[in-house]
Amino acid sequence: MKTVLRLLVVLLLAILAFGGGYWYASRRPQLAPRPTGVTTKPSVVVYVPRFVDTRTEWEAKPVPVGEGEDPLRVALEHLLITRDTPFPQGTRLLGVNVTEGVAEVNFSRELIDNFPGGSTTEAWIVESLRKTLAQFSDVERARILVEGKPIDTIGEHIDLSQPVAVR
Amino acid sequence: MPRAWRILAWAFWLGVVGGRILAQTAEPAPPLPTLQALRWEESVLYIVASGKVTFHTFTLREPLRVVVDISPCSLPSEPIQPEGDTPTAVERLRWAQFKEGVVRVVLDLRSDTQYALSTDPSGEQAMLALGSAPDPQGEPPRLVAPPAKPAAPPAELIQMEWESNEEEARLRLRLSRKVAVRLQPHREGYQTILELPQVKPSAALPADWNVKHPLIEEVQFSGDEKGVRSALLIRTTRAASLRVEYDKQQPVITLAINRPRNAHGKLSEKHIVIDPGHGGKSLGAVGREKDSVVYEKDINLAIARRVRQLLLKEKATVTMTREDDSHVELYARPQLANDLGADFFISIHCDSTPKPNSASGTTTYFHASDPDGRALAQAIQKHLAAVTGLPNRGARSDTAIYQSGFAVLRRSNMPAVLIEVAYINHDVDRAKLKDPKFQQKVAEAIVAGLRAYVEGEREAQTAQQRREVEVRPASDRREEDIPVQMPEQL
Repeated sequence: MKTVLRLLVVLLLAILAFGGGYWYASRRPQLAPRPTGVTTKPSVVVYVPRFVDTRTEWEAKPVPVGEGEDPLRVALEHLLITRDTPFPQGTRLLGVNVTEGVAEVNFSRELIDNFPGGSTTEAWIVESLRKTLAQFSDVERARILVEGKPIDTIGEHIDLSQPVAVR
Repeated sequence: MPRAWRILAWAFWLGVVGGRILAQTAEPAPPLPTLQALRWEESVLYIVASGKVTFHTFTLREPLRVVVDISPCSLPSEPIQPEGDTPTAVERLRWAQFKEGVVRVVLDLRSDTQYALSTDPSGEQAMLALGSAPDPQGEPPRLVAPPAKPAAPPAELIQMEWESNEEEARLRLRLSRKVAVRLQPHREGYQTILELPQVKPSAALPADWNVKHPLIEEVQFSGDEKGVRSALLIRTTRAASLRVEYDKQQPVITLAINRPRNAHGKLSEKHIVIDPGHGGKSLGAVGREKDSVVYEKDINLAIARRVRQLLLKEKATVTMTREDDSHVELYARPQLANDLGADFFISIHCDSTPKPNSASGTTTYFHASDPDGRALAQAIQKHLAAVTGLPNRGARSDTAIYQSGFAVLRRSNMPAVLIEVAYINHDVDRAKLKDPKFQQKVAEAIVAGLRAYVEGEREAQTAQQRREVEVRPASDRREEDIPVQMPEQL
C-alpha cells in the first residue's frame, strides 16, 4: 500500500514536472536571439562640418531622445557641445520657440563674445544650425537671438537680419 | 528515492522536448518581414523592412566593412535597387540572405569612418549615419521615409549651335526636355563649367558646333552616355560674364558669354571702393602665437592701404570704407559704395576655422550666381593664387558656404568680391600675412586682377592671336583628352 502511494506521489510529481517543462519550453521565443548593441530609441540628427580639401563635408551624428524630452531642444543642445561643433566655446541654448514655422533660437552671449572669427566659421555655425533644424517638419525658417534680442550678424560676414530658410 | 528523482528528471526533459516540438508544429511560422529599401540621403543609409525587425551592427577589418544584420528578415522576390548617391566614404554597398532569417547588409569602406545606428520606433527602419561624407547641398536626412520618386530618364542634347556677334557669343543647346543646369567656376584661370546633369548626348548631335570668337579660347563638351555627368568647359580669353537663359516655352538653354559690367575703358577711369574687413571693437579673427596675437582687422587694413596706394598710382579713384582702426557698421560698407555709384567693391578679409591649422589657402568670393561678380572673382583669384604660394581655393560663390551669402556682397550694386587672403589661424598662412612683402605682393595681385578685368589679359590675348581655336567633333575625342572636372572634384 505504501509502495503504491509512493508511486502515485512520484507519478504526480512527474506529471507536474512534465507540465513545468512544457510551460518553460513554450514560453521561450522562437525567434533568433535578440542582438545587442543597438540603439532602439528615437533619434535626432545634428550636423557638424569639416574641410576635405576645399569642400565642406557634413557629418550627421544621431542623438538619442529620452522619454519625455523635446527632440528639438535635445538636437540644439547637443549641437552646441558635440565634438567638432563650429559653435563658440561656452555657447548655451537659452530657449527655442517655434511660432508659425519660425524657430526663434535664443543663445547665450558667448555666441558673439567667444566667436573666434572667420567667414568659414560663421558660415559653418549658421549652416549647422540650418541643417539641424531642417529635420523638424514644423520649422521653415530660423531667427537667431542672443539673450532674447534678434541679431543682424554673428561675426560681420553673414546677413542675419531676416529669418533664414532652413531648407 | 534516486529512482524517483530519475523519473522526475525524465518527465521534465520530456516536457521540454515535447513542448518545443509541439510549439513549433502547433503554430505555423508567420512570413518573415522582407528588406524593402536601401536609400542614401547624404551620409545616412536608411534600411527599410516590411515589418518589425532588429538591426545589429558591427565592423569587420581587412577589408574594412560595416555590417548590419537584420533579423528576422528575408530578401523580397523582386531585386532591390538602392536609391540615392553612395557617399564617397563607401566603396560598395552589398546585401544578401546571410542565413535563414537573417539579411546581411555590408558597406565596404574606403577608410576608417565613424558610424552610428539608430532604429525608428516602429522597428521597421534603421538609420546608419556615417561620419563625414560629401554634402551635395541636398536635403538633409529626415527621420521619416519620404515617398520614393521614380527617376526621370536623362534628357537628350539634340543640338548645339552658336549665334554670335562682335559683342556676344551665344551657344544654344536644344534638349529633348527641360532640365536645370548650373555654372561653376573652375579653380584655375578663366575656366567655367556648365554642368549638365541628367543630360546625355544624342546620336544626332552635330560634330561642327565649335566657334571662333575673340572672347572664347576653347569650349569642350564632355558627353556622358549614361546621362549623369555631362558638362561643357568654357575657357575664355579674359574675365567674361557667363549667363544661362532658359527658353520659357521650349527645352532650349542659351549660354550667353560677353564682356562683364564695367569692363570697358581703362582702370584709371574707374572708381573702386576698398573695404578692409572689421575694425575698431570688431577684431575679426585672431591669430594666436606664443607671446603675441595678430588681429585680422590690422592685416586687412594694411593690405587695403597698399591696394589704395597702387590704385592711386594708376590714377584710379579710390574710396576706403575705413581709413584707420575705426568701427564701421556692416551694412554701411556696401551702402557707401552704392551711394558713390562706384564701379567695384573689393572687401579684404582673412579667414579662420574653428580648429587651428585645419585649413590654408586663398579664396575669392562672389555673390550667388552673379555673372559679373564671378568674372571679377576669377580675374582677381587668378592673379592672387599665382603669388600667395598658398593653396588655390578658387573663385567661389558665397552661397557655396552659406545659402544667402555675405552681407557686403549681397547688398552692393556693382561687381563685388570678398577676398579671404589666407587663414589667420594657420601657422604658415599667418607668417605670410604678417610679412609686409607678402602684403605688397597680395596688393599688387589684386590690382593686376582688377586691371585684367577692365582692360583684358594682355598675355592671354596674344596667346589667343597665336592660337587657332581647335574645332573637333566631340565624338573624335578620347576620354583622357577632356580635362573637365566635375564639381565634386573641384
